[in-house]
Amino acid sequence: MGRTRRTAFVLFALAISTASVRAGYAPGCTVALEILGAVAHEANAVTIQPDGKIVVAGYADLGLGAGRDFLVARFHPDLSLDTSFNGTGYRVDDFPYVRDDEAFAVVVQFDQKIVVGGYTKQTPAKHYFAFARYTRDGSLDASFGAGGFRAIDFPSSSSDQLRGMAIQPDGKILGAGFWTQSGNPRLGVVRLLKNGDLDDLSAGFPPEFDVDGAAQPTIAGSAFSLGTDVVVQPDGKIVVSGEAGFATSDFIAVRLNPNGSLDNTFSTNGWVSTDIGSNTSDSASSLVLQSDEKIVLAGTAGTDVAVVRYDKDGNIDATFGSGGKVVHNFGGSDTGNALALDSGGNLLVAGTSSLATANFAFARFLLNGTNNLSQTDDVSGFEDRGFGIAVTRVGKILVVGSSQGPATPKTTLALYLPDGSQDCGPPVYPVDVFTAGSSGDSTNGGQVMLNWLNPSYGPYDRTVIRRATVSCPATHNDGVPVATQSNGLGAPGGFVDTVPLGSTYHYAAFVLDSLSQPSTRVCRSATPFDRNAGAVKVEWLYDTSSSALTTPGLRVNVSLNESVVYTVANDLVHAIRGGLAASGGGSWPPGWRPFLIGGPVQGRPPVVPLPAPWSTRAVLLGSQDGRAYAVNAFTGALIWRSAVLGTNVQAALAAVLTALGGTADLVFVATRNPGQPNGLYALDATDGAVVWYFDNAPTRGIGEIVSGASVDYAAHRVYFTSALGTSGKTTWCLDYSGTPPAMCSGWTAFGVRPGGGGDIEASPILYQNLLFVSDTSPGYLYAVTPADGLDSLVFNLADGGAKGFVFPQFGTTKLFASTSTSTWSVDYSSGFPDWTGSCVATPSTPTAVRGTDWVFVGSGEGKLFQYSASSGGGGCPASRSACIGNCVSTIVGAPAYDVLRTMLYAGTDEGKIYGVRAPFQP
Amino acid sequence: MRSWRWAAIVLAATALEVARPAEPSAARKKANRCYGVRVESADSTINRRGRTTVFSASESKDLRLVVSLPEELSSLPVHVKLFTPRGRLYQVLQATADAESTSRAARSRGRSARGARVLAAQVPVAGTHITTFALFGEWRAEVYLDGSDAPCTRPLEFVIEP
Repeated sequence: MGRTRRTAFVLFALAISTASVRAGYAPGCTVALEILGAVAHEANAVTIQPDGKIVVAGYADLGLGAGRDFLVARFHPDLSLDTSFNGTGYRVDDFPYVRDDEAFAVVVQFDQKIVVGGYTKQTPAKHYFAFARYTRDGSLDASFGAGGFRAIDFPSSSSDQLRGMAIQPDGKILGAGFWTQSGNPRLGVVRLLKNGDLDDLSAGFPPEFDVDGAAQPTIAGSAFSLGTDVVVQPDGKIVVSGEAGFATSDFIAVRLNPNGSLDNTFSTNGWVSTDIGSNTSDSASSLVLQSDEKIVLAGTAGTDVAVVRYDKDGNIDATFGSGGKVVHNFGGSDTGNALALDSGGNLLVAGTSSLATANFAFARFLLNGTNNLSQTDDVSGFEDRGFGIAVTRVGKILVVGSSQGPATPKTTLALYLPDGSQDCGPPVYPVDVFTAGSSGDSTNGGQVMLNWLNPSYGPYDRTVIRRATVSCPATHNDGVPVATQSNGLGAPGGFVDTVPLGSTYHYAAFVLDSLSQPSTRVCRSATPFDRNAGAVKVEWLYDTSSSALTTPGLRVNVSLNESVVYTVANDLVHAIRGGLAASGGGSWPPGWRPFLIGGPVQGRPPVVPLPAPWSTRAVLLGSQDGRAYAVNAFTGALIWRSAVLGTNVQAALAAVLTALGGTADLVFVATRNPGQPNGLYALDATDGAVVWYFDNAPTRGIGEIVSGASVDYAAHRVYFTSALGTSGKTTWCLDYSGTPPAMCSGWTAFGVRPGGGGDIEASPILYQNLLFVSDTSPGYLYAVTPADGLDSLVFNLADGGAKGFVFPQFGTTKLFASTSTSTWSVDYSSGFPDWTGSCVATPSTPTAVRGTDWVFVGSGEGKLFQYSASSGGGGCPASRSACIGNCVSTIVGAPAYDVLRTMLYAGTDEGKIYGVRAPFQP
Repeated sequence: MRSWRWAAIVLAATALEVARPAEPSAARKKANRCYGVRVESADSTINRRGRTTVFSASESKDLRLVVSLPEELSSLPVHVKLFTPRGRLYQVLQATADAESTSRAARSRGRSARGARVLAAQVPVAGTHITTFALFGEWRAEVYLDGSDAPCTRPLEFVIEP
């Protein structure tokens, strides 16, 4: 994010009120936004959306004496304007007050709404904190404040200005800046609820936020103080950077408790100041929180850039620079305006360095403060000022600010490689995703189901698919033409290629611009097969061309006669139409765009109905990047992405939803933090914000949570299990009817099951008023009474714990489970196992089909196998075994059964999803 | 405060600078080398079989792949490709600074003449495909810098046992 500074302009007021845009300089490297008629506009801050798009905020002065107004603009990763934002890629908004408005901070909420903060001026001497919120399409969000605007007036203050913003995990919005007292600025922080109201708590103790939603901490001994940036620690404490006036002005870091009061465990009184140079005026403009919780401030000391690091207790960190400080000279009169972290934990500072003219300046500092990149960039040849910095999803350094040609300052963005050079990217971008599925029959030959996603930006005229049998076509003129489509940037494409059976075909996808200049190729291969061959019919396979798959999730809509399979491979969320290949099975559903999330996923993704305003189905995903995601099940668009909740979210997500008869709309997310506290989060299903968090405080000691929770809608309970070693109590019960949740009162051990213990890696399953859990070692299956948490039945599986979860056969008292080498049928009414099957090696979690005698398992030897639910079946006949993959070394995961299409879907470690007609035998 | 400084505008009549030709990134990437990659677990004692590290899946809930590289390369995106004992790509993980590696690097500062930096990626084991499908045997981890096609160091092989 960018921050402080100000430049005066004496410019011409043009009598043009409309705005138009063109890109200047070097597209892909450096771009200046042009708003026709604007006498000045600059970007003060930047942030990157989860999809890689770039959002900047600042001001634009459209002339005619209108003064400055909020400017917010969105760009694609190649710096081209994203016209899906407000139709133009940017917008200029005038607050209800008649004078200047200027934005200094921008954040993206979990639901992808954009919040911009700064000031709005009522009179020449009266400023307010100002917020504006926009929907993801660039409209003002009417559900926030008044028509999307919110202004905050500190009592008895003449000038209140916001400089930094942050979003708390619970979705509340923090704004830091200053207010004035007797004409002197004082550091102040406000917190807004998600609807823009001040967060006026009523906790009963004297926190600052409790009074009026504003914290006004006292920096003792200072003549003035200013807040410039704000971050939220994982423990909820709030850190603010800024400047305070003592003998000279110094850097300050202030830490507040979550209620807004000064945190007296930080330094001596909740704040620390650092004098960079005894005779210089020092001002911190930005801060970041390192992964080790150290706090880094960057700003300006005299005419140099300065960086200071503190430990988590507010002590200066002597391992950084010289005595915790680094002073850096770009060679001119320098200002440090913004700070960011790269993926390696290095510190990036952006600002301005002025000699004859002002230039963009940015530098990188290593862990110990050593400078290993220092660069200035005379972007325009005139005045160029850097105010914001960010690291893109591919690791490029993005500096934003303004460049002033011979006329007016313009919002400017520049991208640099990590070595400081510029790489403008390819002239034409290739397709984002390309997949090839296979099917076929002896009558019509082979079918190859091709799907691709066009790039979202760059030149585009058409997408060309070529085919060859020896190797992937090298150019767009090689091989055989298969398909040419001109469906536009960001659009999905699809084609079914009919070819003879018996060969492997290699496909290349090219994007061409209007001059037929091609992108690089993207290659895929497919080997069509006869879907009617063999005893068991593999209808189609879908190849993600990627890594091991998430256990497939399934959405079946009988009224729409539609079934869709969802999986994640190498961080890309795929959707595949179920059913026969002739009906589109094995291809993307119409309108689907695969979505890239932040890390691998292993838990089977549930597909659930989200409440308003979405009122649509969403795929819920927990990722190894520590976040939870909700992705639109029809389009692949991101609905929300939570804050980072832990090191890893391994377990499949669970939910209680009003659309399914629940009393709340909550998504339950469990953490898997090695060596750290763990807990269960309840997120707001509408926006992914944290509603509550349970970590068994103050005792804590839950252990890593590996598997998904189980929800009892009738009793308002959520059950989960954890891995806490052999002595731990690892089955938990929470009553979610209140906030925070209560541990289940009826349980003899207050929400913790006293029996058994040790690591549990399988999900608890609530079925017919019994909670079934299975420990990892030695491998017992427990039937727990939900009323008291006590074990009512215990089965010794004697082969390790149940994998994943036990699968009930609905309508019966039968349960099915797979252990290390066997699949089990257990009838809990009799208390004994019915049968045990070992027809496949390392069986997956089984799938039983209601109202039938079918139980399906995958295996570590390339097979799907069908057991008889009643008897296990006589032996292990080949007629009940579907060979997929190479039938020897392929690993087949837990299958999903499609009652509408009577098909089974299973993923393999080769990154393929198979659609198999089922049952294998009646 | 820096925010209130007013800067004079100097409209120097210099030519507009346009994009500089970029050095081909592939050429640069080939020169980048990492120092190495190792695997560790906080849950279990590390056993060695010859030069190979062996972990028990019943004892190791999680593994960490720790990449060591020259500090000046630590700003480049680092990805680890993890392959199963059958040679299939299992996951692609981004190695990042984390609390443990950051503090270790800080502690080792001054001892490392080469200016090494360590980044880490977590590999969950318990309750994953590794235990569910008995992906036991010799695993391989390859480290890639900045999207390069070639690993930046020798692959690491380690064993996960039941």
